[in-house]
Amino acid sequence: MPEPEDLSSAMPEPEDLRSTVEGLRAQVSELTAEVDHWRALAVGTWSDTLAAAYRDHATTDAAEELARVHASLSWRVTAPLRAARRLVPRR
Amino acid sequence: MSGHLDGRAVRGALAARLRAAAAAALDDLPAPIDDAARDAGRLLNALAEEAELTDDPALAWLILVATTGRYPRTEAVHELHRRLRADSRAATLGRVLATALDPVSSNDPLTVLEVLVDAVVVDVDYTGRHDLNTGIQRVVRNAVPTWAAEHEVMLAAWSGTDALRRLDPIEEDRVLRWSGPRHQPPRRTRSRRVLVPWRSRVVLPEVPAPWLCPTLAALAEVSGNAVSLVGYDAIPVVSADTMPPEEPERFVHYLTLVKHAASIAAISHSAGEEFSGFVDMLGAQGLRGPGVRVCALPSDVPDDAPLADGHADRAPSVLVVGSHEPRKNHLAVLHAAELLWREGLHFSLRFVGGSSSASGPFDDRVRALHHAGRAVTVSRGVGDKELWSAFRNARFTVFPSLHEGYGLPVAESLAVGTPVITSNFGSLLDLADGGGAMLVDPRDDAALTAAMRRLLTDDALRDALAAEALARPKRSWTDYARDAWDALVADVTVAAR
Repeated sequence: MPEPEDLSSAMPEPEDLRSTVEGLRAQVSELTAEVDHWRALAVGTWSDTLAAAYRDHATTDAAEELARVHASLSWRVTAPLRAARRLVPRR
Repeated sequence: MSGHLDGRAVRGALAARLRAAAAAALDDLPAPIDDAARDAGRLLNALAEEAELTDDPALAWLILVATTGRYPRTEAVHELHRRLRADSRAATLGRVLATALDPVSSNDPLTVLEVLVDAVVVDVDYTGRHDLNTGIQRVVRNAVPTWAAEHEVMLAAWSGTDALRRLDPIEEDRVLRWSGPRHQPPRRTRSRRVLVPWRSRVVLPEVPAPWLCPTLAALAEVSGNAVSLVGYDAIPVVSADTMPPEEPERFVHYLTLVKHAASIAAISHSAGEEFSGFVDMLGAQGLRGPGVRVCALPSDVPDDAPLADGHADRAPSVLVVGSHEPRKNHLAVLHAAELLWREGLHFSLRFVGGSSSASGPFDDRVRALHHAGRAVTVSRGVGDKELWSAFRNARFTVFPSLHEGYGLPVAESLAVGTPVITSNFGSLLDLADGGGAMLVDPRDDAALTAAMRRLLTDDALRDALAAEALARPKRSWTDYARDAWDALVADVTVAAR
């Protein structure tokens, strides 16, 4: 069991303690800002990726719709009309 | 589908959804910031932190709704809830966002949430979208307008199969101001604006389609909302032998929802016994199941119902109301009628009701009788006024169903003083108890034929039953709507946080 005077000598000075707390606070603040930054980056990348995925999806939908039209009976039946139209010079 | 999406719009929408969710769920709402990505990240983190602190799966449900724009299923909620407890928050939320990247498993990225706190949301999807006006839709169209007039309620339908949305004006008219078919084909409307009940009561006065049941079951089990429903019957399982083969399977999906509901308002004692029987079985699964209360349907004649037209010179009309499915036993009615026509009795037989997937034999038989010159007609898509007129002008009605949750056509026929021939068991026996009905064993063709013969030939008996019917105690739709509101809303507690 240390003597009381030994214990008091082991305690940090109030000034040191304050400085340690301030240092830790600054570190927390810096880490929080960093987490904030990475989180925002993740959400930003996520939203760009999602927007691109939906654009692709919409393009694929349109391409598939076009393919369906081209494969349809009415498109094939009217093919001669379109061919004839191409032969008529545009004015 | 959104063809011109950019990332900025998507993260702005995500931040707005998360802010709407956080405003409802968090006491300390993070202050908004201009940078949408940063705002969304902070809000997502705050919601996850709250979910970890409270250990409440409802927060996981809400996080999934906010990130994907659709209601999740139970398994997804459990998975997120567990991960939030066991894994690092960053990894878990990263996973949530990754899931929401899949266009198949998430809604329109620009979805907007309308979070309803401590509200009453009434799902009237089918009645709003369809012109059909048989049993369930008539209950909805008679009870919901009273709820809407006396309380603050949000009427809702499904946006795709993902989430609830507000009704459009036509749908609202069909529910609140029904005046007959609108002749608009039913549409499955997608809305960018999604309703999110939070710590609310969700009322299901319809039997939801099976593909909605897993989502609704999650809403009942893990969202923190209390789901209550009108219990019509358990016919698809109890009388599976009279149903198309797919019906029992559909109903089992519905039971998955029923077991997690908070309350059931059964439409008759018979229906109450069926649902109580199911709740009794849930002990085997360690579940308590919903409370079951009987709120018997009424027999109310609307003020504008037409009076009898007084054409006494016409052949007496026998009316049969109900959809054409085997359980309604319409083939037995056609058989009895044919025997009576052959005896030389003079009467017309009118069926009012929609078709079903099993209407084929009925349609064939009607066609054959028609070709033989018999006075049989089938009316589909009939409006209320025409139906009441048919009830009033009939000499009597026939409703020899093999299984009913209630038997609305019996109640309505008796309410206008038109005698009924109906089945001698279940809810139909309960209804007949007040007078005005002749009871038969619906499986006994001879008994049904004899009862119809008596009511066609015995004027004194017909008049005595009509007088009994008119003397029955009255119960209005308003009475029903108020009883049902108590059972489904007022007496239902939403779990506290």
